[in-house]
Amino acid sequence: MEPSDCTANGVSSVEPTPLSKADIERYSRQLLVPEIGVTGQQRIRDARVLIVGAGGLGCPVALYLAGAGIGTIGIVDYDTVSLDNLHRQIAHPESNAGQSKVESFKRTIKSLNSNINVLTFETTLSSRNSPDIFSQFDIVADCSDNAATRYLVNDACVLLEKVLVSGSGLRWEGQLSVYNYQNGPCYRCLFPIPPNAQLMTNCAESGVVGPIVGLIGSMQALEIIKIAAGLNSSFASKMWMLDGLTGQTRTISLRKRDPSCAVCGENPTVKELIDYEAFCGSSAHDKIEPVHILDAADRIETKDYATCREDREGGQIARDAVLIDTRPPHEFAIAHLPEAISVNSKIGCFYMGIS
Amino acid sequence: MDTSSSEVTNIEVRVLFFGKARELAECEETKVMLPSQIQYSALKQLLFQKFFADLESIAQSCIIAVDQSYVQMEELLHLTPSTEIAIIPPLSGG
Repeated sequence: MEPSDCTANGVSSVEPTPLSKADIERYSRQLLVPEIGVTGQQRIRDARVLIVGAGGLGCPVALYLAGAGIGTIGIVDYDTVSLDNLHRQIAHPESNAGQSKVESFKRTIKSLNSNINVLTFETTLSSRNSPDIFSQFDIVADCSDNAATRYLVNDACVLLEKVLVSGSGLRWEGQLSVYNYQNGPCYRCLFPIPPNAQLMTNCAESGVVGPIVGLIGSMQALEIIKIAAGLNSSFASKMWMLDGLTGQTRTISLRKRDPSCAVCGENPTVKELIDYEAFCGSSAHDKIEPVHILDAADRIETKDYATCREDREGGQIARDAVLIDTRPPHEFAIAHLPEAISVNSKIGCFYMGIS
Repeated sequence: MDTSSSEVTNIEVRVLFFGKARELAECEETKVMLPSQIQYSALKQLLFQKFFADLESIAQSCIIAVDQSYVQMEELLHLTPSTEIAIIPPLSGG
């Protein structure tokens, strides 16, 4: 692959300063790759990359970008490190549980490569703060975990002319694409209508296997390094799909930019950032949303059920009480009350009136 | 199934499900009979309303790829017995 002249594609057009002796030594194994070489390494050093989300995808992105010597790495995340994240969020040590994710990230990046300039933004990314944050970077990695943030990041990248390297993962599957790049589509060209918020599944509810986001995040890092070095990304107008359960990968050819796209089209209706939580009907995080529940008269609180269990006589629960657990069998197997009867979740949801 | 042209025959093709579509369809893939020539809009209607009605709730947010290529809105598709149709909803997790 020949280095391309792509000053508008995330690469600085300013004449680079020579590499230091220390840089030549440190990055020698990368400099030896002919497509990168000295020029590529100079561009990598001068690149400014923003990582949105310090989670399962953000970790490998940050680790590899720090290793490669991306000069400035920004990280946005509002959250704190949680033990139930660590099976996949491998840049956070266990000792940082409870601490700010962006600060945890910064320490990890600095411990890998002290030369990196790390900018932290401990905040929920919003329409209000995005322009100031995004304008400090050339390339944006979407490592977020929810639809509202994905549309926000996309629109901000289109409006501020940033290349968007987007990854996502859930359970055994992952997706990777590079948007707003070389006349390819933006996220909205492909997904103009946000997914039904009631049917959204996230990692907090559905789970994810660590190496899935590890692989997708590593692919994001690879594409970012290529773009930063002035090479072409392999995923302009393409989506790479990983199915980790069957071991299959696919590359789907996508459409070109959609002339009727609401944000990157010829007559855009989205000319400034909007309210993305309202647009998507869901919040800008992956925490479990409150669900529609039955009227108070038709349901029983766990406290009351616990009292009812304590009232049982002779170790037997009252004959008229039947506890039906409607969660899927694999969740039932994690933990359940001994008297609970597991019933197929789809049927369960139907009975609960939320299907 | 009615066909408007004598050249159009019904053939069996593979349908692959990803993400939420896999969860709703409760399988990774299946086979369905489809006309060998079909408009995108008609294909979408058959998939989401006839064959896999459980997926209708996500129809608007899915990409459909035929033989690993995104299908455009008014495209006339030529299907063969080796055709693979993929139903791809966006993944948001990370």
